[in-house]
Amino acid sequence: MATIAQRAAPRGTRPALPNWLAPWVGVLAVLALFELVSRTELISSEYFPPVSDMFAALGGLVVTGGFWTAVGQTLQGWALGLGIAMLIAVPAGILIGSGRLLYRSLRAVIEFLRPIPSVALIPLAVLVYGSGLESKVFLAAFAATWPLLMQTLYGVQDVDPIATDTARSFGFGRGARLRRVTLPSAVPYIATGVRISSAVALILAVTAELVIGAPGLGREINVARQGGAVDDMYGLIIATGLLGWALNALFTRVERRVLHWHPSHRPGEEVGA
Amino acid sequence: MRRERLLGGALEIAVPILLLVLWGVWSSASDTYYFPPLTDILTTFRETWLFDRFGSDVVPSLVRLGLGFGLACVAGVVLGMALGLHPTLRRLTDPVVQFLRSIPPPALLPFGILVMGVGNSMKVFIIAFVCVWPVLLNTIDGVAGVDPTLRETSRVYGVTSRDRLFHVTLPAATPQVFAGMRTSLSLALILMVISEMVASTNGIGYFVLQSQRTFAIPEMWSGILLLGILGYVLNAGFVLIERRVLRWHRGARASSLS
Amino acid sequence: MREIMAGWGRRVPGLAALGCALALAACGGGDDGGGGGEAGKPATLKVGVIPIADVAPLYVGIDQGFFKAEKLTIQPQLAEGGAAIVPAVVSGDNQIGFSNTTSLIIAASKKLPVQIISQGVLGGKGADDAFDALLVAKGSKIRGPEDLEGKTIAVNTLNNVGPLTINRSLEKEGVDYRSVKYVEVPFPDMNAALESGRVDAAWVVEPFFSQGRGSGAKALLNPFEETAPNLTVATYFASKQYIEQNRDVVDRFKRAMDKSLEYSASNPDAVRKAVLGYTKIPPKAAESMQLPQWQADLNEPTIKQTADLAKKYGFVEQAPPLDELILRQG
Repeated sequence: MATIAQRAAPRGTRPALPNWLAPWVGVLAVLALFELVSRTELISSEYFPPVSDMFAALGGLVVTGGFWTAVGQTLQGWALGLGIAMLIAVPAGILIGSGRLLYRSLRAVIEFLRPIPSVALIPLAVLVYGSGLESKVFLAAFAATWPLLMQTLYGVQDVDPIATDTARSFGFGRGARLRRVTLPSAVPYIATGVRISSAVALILAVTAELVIGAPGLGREINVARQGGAVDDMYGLIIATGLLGWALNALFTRVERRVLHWHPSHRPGEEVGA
Repeated sequence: MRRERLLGGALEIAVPILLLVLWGVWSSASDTYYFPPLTDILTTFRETWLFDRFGSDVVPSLVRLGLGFGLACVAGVVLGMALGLHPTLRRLTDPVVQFLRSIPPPALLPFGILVMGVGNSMKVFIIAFVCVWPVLLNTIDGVAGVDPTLRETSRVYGVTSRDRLFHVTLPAATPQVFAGMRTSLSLALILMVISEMVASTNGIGYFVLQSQRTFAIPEMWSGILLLGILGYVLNAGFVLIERRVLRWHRGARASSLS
Repeated sequence: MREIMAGWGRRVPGLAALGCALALAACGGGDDGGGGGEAGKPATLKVGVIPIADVAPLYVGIDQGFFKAEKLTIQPQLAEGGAAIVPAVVSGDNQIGFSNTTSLIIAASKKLPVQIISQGVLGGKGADDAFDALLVAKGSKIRGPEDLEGKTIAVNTLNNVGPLTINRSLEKEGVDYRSVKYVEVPFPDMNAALESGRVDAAWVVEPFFSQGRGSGAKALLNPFEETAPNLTVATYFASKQYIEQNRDVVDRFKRAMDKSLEYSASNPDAVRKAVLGYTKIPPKAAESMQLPQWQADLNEPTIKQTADLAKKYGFVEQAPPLDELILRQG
């Protein structure tokens, strides 16, 4: 289905790269860059090995069972942390965003708690929850709640007043207005918020594992670091990055299905981010 | 309407104070080492931050925060515009962006030290590197999500590409861009602390982490308190700026909560 | 548009359900308890350690069955450092932890209820068997300790055993330690910082000592060994509350640990093999690196010296009394 945009474009300007090829070209270009940087000793190769060595180390790790156990443990912490954050932030965001008085009462508290770094809370988390899964989940959930809460608030606040007024004049009650006008308008914000929170939850889960020693990829990274096994360390960091990329790709696909009616997702508009 | 606004203002002050009082009461009853009484924390706060360590720790931290955040905003908006408008570019860079974004900041520290050393530039780099993503992603979403009717109408009317960019697309994307910047701002504070985890000789994060290591718990809490206050103040300042810039948008969308 | 909006009303609860499903699906993995037992009863102990060579005796003791003989099951918990281990022990999540003596002295001076229960690891007798060193880069203009005045030295933790022992070494050489600038860099990143000239000198321990030497760095002095021969660098500790309630278990741990320490001291091959198991030290490095020293005796005079130096250099206000810091037998 061609839109005006496509019809208006002059003939002969097909995209330079086929859609499916473009991401790989980008990745390869960056990998080649890093390989060069290390091989030419622009950065000392002893401390920043060539990308090929990093992938070789990763390859060696991927065949061990311990690696996949660690991945599972990290994912467990991530899922729980994100799940809790969603359960708290989305309803709270909708509630607070819809009530002017409620918003004003809690605004100072939110803005005060939001910037507190989870890192600073690590000893407290360990004290209360120990050095295992619960600490990890607490830190991940705490950090992931705020971006989602803020995005939900933003989304609820950004509703087109004409739409709400129209709904009101059609006789829609508060609840119906919320469900049929405010929420759909807010959903893109919430979707972006979930994606951001997912990344935050993963990062905090791995950070908690790194520092506290909760089982997972982060702990493996720390063990490799302390042993001076630089290839393994970077291999594991790559694994963490790949995990984040995979999760994001998953969320993007889900988002595309769910938000197919929104302008940024309409056919012909090609949004990949 | 006016009564509601007065009530809102009163609540905005009363609720936090109430929570503080509750914290004070609960903490004076507890005797855990890691949760000292609020009164101790407040005393330590006054002694440390007003104004003994203000110049030596708060100022350098805030300067690095400002530089890192500023860098992230500029890079995020510029790249986000480019990527938002060119689907091919977006496809080229998307996997790389998603990958880099997922690297936990503490894992970036060794690379940061390697490339930038142990000084301020390393810390600014770390802050900027992590803070760029929310701005970037929100800019992309904002630019790509501009109502196509808007875009096509302006094209039909013969508005040039450049004018379309600056007078249609960008303004339409601004609310979402600012949402991204707000997220980045609170991230920046967190990253400021993480970046001071190593190779630091001053800073608020450095102070909090050193207090942790030397078991100076009231000092640690006073630092956490300061971080919360700073976050609040920075965010309030940002909202003021945002309100200015988005005044036309608010008029059109009239947020029910301004 | 109405249909689309109405359709959405169904999707939001769906999203919420997805969130719940995610949370529930990932639940699982219980928490195995550790805990003391009544006198003589088998007990499981969670011990907080760092993945470094120093704690090898713990693993050697597990391998050799010393702990099993005392009816103890040991579960090592690998953490990054004391900042995570001490709260874990204080809260009771770990029953026992491994920490360097200086940190414990600082904790005790701040009234944290921790007590040393057994020896952990010691420094060497002299430069020949030292596993720590103050390194300078290849071709550095720094030739001796006197050149360190006013320079930047990287240590892994500020106000801790690194600066303490370096200060003491400098003092002995008549160098003004107060002129030195310390900067905190984790051990794994030290050699990189040294080589690129970001710092003038770096204090490292194995395996980074050998790694640095391999790149041409020179050892200026060995701070542990200069401070005292066989300095007690780190020990195993527990919370006072746990000790009170589980004195028998603690005594059994000490007995088994003493055996492990003595065994490790005379069986370096067993140690090197164990190290390959719980650390990621590359096999070549594990074979050739200088091992730390172990013995059962606490070498208390060095602990007292550490406490006094900590007060002298301003790391603590008051040196904690040794009787409170160390659990006495009998």
